[in-house]
Amino acid sequence: MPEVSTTRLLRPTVVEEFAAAVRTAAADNIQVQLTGSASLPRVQFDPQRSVQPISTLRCNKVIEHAVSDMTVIAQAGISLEALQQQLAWHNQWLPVDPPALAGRSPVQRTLGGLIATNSLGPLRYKCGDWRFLMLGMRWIDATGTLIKGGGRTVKNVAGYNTPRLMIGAAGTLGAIAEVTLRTFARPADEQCLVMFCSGPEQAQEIIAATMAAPLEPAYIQAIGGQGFADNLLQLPVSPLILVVGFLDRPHLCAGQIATLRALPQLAGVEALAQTAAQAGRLRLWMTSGPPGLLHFRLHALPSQVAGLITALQAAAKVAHARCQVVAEAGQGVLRGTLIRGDHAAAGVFWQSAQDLATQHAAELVLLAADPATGIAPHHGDARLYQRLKGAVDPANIFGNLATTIR
Amino acid sequence: MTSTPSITVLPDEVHAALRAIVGDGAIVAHPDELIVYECDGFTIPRARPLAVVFPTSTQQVAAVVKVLAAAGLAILPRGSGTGLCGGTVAVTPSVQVSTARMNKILEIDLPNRWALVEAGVCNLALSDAIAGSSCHFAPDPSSQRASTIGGNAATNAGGIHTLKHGVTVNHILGLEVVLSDGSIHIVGGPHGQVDGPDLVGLLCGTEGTLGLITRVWCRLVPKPKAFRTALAVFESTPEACATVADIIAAGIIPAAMEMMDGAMIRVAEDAFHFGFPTSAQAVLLLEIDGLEAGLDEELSAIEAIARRNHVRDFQGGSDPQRRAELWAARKKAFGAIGRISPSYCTQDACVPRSRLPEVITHIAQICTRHQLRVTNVFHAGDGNVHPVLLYDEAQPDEVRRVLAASGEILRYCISIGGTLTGEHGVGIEKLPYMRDMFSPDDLRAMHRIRRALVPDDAFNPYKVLPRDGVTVDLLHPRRDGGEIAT
Repeated sequence: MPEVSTTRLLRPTVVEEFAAAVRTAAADNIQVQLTGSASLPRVQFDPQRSVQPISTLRCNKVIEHAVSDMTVIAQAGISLEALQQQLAWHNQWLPVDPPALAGRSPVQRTLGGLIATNSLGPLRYKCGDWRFLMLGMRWIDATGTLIKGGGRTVKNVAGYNTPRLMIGAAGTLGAIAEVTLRTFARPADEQCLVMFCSGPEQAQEIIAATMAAPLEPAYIQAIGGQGFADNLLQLPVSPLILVVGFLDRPHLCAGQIATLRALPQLAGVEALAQTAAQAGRLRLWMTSGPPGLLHFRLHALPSQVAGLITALQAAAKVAHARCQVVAEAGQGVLRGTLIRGDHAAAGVFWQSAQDLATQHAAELVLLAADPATGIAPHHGDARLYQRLKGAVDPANIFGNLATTIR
Repeated sequence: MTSTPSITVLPDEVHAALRAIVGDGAIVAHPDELIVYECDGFTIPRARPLAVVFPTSTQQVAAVVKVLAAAGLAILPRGSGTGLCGGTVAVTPSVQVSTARMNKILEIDLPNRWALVEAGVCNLALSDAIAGSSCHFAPDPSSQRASTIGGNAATNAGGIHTLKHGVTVNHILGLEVVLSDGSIHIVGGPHGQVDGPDLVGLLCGTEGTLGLITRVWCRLVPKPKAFRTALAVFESTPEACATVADIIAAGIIPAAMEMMDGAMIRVAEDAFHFGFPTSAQAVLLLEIDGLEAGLDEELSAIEAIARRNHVRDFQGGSDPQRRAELWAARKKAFGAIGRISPSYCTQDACVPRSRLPEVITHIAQICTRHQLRVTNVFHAGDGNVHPVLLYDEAQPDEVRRVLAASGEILRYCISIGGTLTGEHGVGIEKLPYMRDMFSPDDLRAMHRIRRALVPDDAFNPYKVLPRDGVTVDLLHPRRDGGEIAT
C-alpha cells in the first residue's frame, strides 16, 4: 500500500467526541483511520489525501450492565479482557475467544475491532457469532453523525439492522462507537480432550463422529502436526491433532469426555484429557498464530477439514516452506500462517492454496501478506459492498476494504 | 414510484410481457381472484394488487422484476401471506411476485449441516425432509406449517424455540437475491458469509424492501439430545412474569419459555383439551434441552424459582407425546381466538425481560381505557409480548380503538427500552412508531441503504421506513386513491 500522510492521533474519551473528530475530518475531506489495539487490517486509503488516525482506546467504558436482563452496553475501545473482568463480577461473560491480531494478545483486542474484523474463535461452534451476540449499536457515519441501530432486547426486527453492516466491514462503512451485547452465565468448568491422529482419514472420522454423537462440544479444533510442534504446551506430536472442548458443570464435562473417549472411532487413538486451566491455555494458543509471510483463512466444509490441513502443509513442504494450520473443524474454517520459506516459496504456496480452494469449492481469504511476496488480495464479487459503500460513505472517508467478498 | 398515476388494472402490454416469461396459468389478475391477496395476516389494511405472478425460477423472477420496474409498477414479494404487519398490502399500483411455485429443496448436506432451498419451500417441509436424521431447521414460527423459508428470512421470523437457538437470521448461511434492476446476487453460501460486511445479516428482516429472496442456504442444527417440558400454573400474571425474569437472571436459558394468560388458557383448553387449568390466571410453558444428565438438575432450579414466585402447580416431564401436544396447543392458540371474538389484532413489542411484570399490567390498563378486551399469549423468555386485542371488524369504532390502543402499547414499550416489533416486522402497520424508536439520523441511514440497493424504490414502497410528510392510512391504504375495478 502506498504511504499516506497522517496527522496527530486523536484519542476521544466519549462517543460524542469520537463523532466530532470524524465530523471535523470529513468536513476537511480527510480520511479517517480507525485504530483499536492495532490498526484495522486491509483498509486501503487514498494516497492523495491526508489521513486522520483516531484511536478508540480511551472510549473504553461499560455504559450499562443489565445483570438480570443478561445484556451489556460497552464502548468500542474496551478490551475484551476488561469487558470480561467487569462481567465476571456478576458471574457472567461474553463467550468469544478471537485470534490474535498484529502480534497483540487476543484479550487485548478491542470490542469494536473484534466486531469490525468479525473475529471469533473456537467457541463460535457452540456460542454463536457476532450476528447472534450483538443486539444493538451506536455507530458513526461518514458525516460524523451518531446512528443507532438495533436495540437492547433479545429480539428486534424494527427497521434495517444497520449494526450488522458493521460486522466485518473493517470500519469502512462506519465507526463502531458503542455496542449492546448479550451476556451469558459463566460456565462452571471447561475440559477438553486432545487426540493424536495418525492421519487425515482418522481425524476426519473422529470429527464426523463427534459432531453426530450425543455431545454438546463448545469447540472442535483440528491442528496440523507441523504447526503444533512449536506449541508451548509440550504435548506429543502427530500428523493431526484434534481438540474437543466442553463448557458446563464439572460432572457434565467429565461425562462428555467419557462419552467421547468411548466412541469406536477413538479406539487405539492416544488421547489426553485436559483440565480447565490447561484447556484455557490450549484454546488461547490455538488462536495465537505466529508471525509469518502469509496469513489466510480457508472456508470449507467440516468434512473437508482434515484433508485440507494435510494438503496445505504438503503444499508448503513442496514450496520449501512451512505452514501452521489450525481449524475450527466444526465450522470448516481453517486459519493458516506460512511461517518459513522465502518470498518465492510464498508465491508457489499461495498458488497451490488457490488451487486447493478451487478443487474443494472452498473460499480463500488473504488476511495479510508480507509486501515483499507481491501477493495481494483477490477481489471477488464486491458489487453489493461497493453499492453500499457509495451510499453510506460517498466521499470515502473511512477507506476501502481490500477483500474477497462473495 | 411516488408519482405513479392511479392504475386500476394491469396494463395489457405488461400482462403480455409477464405471460411471455412465466406462461399462462402463472398470473392471477381477475379482481375476484385477487381478493385473497389484498392483505396478509394483519387484516385491517386491505388493498388489492393489480396481479400476482408465480415464477418458478430465479431467472424468471429477474425477468419479471425487470418488466415491472420498467413499467413503473411496484413489486411486492410474497411468500405464503402469513405476515402480520401488512407487508404485502398494495399501497401503490403493484404486482405481487409470489415464490409459492419456487418450492424445491435443491440440496441437503447432512454431514456438513446445510441445505439449499428455493424461497417458497415451506418452513416445516425442510425439517420434514430430514425427519429421519439427527438434524432439523430450528426456526419454528407458529406459522411454520404454511410460511415459507424465504418469507421467514425476509421477516427474520421468530418462534417458540428461538430463545436458546436464535431467530431465523441465526440459521441462514446465504441468500440469493434479485435486485430491482434484475441483477442476481449471492451473499454467503454453504460456508456462510466468509468475508466483508454481514450482508446476509443485513438483508434478513428487511421485509422485501431491498430485494426478492429466491434461494436460501439454511443452517441445520442437531435436534435436542434430551428435553424436559414443564407447565407452571400461577394465580397471577405478574408472578408468572417475575418467574420468567428470575429464570433469565439466574443465567438459565430454556429452549422455550411461553406464557398464556387466563383468558387464553380457557380459549386454548376449550379448543384443544390439553388439560390446561382453566381457573388459573397464567401458565408458563417451558422446555429445557441438552444432555440428559443435566436436565433434572436444571428443571429443579427452575421449579425452585417458580415456587419463590408462588407457583400454584408445577408439572415437569419428559414424555415426547405430551411435549408434542403442549407445543401444538401453543402454536394453535391464535387460531382458537375466533371462538371468542370475530376479529383480533396481535401486537408484537419486545421489552427487557426484567420489565415484563409491569408491561403486562400496563397493557391491561391501556386496553381497559379503550374499552377493549385483551388476552396474552407470548414468548415470555424473549420479552416478546403479544397482546391480542379482540374486536369486531364490522364495527369501525372498535377498529379505531384497536389501532389507538396498539399505538399506546408500542409507544409505552419503546419508552422503557423495548422495541416496536420483536418478530412480526414493521410493514405498514408500525410505520408511525418508527420515529418513536429511531431518530431522523437513524432513519436517514436506513434510507441511504435502501437507495443504494433499490434506487427506483421498486420493492415494497412505503413499507418499513417512514417518509417525511407521508402517512399511510391503515383503513384506506391505497395512496393514490385508486382501487381495483370489481
